[in-house]
Amino acid sequence: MNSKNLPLSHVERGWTIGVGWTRKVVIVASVLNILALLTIILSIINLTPLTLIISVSIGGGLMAISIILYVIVVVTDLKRRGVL
Amino acid sequence: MNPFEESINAANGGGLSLIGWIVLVLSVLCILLIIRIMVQDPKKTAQPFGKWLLLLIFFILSPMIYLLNFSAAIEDSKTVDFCNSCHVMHGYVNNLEDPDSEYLASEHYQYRWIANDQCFTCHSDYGLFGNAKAKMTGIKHVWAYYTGYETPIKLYDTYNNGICLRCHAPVLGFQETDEHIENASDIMNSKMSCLGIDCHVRTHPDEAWSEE
Repeated sequence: MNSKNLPLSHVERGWTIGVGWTRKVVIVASVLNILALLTIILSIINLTPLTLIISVSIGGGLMAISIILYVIVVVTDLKRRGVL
Repeated sequence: MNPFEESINAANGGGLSLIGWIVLVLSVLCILLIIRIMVQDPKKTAQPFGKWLLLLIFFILSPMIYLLNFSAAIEDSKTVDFCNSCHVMHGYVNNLEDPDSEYLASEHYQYRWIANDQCFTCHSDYGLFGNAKAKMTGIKHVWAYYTGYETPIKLYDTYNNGICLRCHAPVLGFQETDEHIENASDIMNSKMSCLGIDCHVRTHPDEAWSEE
């Protein structure tokens, strides 16, 4: 309960991943992750030299970027909550 | 209808592998979960369940899918079908599959002297880095395929006799052949090719590269 005797909102509880700029970053990371997974599915369904290279290089790159973005969001969230 | 079709498919490992199915199912599951999290109320995403789910997808499932796909794709890229997916290889594979062909590669393929992955087996060196070297060369081939290449296509270097010797050297008949004993050193060093007019017939037809 907060000072107004209302249930704590998610922001007051310190859960900030889904709000503000962090939400936008999470959405970008999610879209990149989906694209990476789609390139992987492409090489599973139709394995050719080109799809293999796309899934391993472009898919891997997109996945790495999405993970880095999510790490940034998690670290920001933990800092806001005073954990870090 | 070939009455042996089932056995042929089993021998060729047709269809999607188990790892392929796992990767496919996990990928679709992750995509659906991500979309569900994204379209729902932002407040729910901020709650522990949404955060943990995203954490699971980003840090565990996605890297696992990538690594599984990587290992499966590298393994599947050894097959004759994979090599044949570039049109420049059609002539070579057509000759392999021709039961009347007397070329060396075709006989190895037709009589299953090499059980599977025949292209890869003869075109990759043995040893610790043999597979990795073959894959790097494969990337070079893809680059050349899309940017242009010289014809007729040929090997980058002299063929490594060690690849032939890996199977043939332990055979007594090979060891007792006079020509092999006389030229053992040159054969071992790949200074003398196993292939040619005086020794064994050619591996592929010269004009195979031009066939569609």
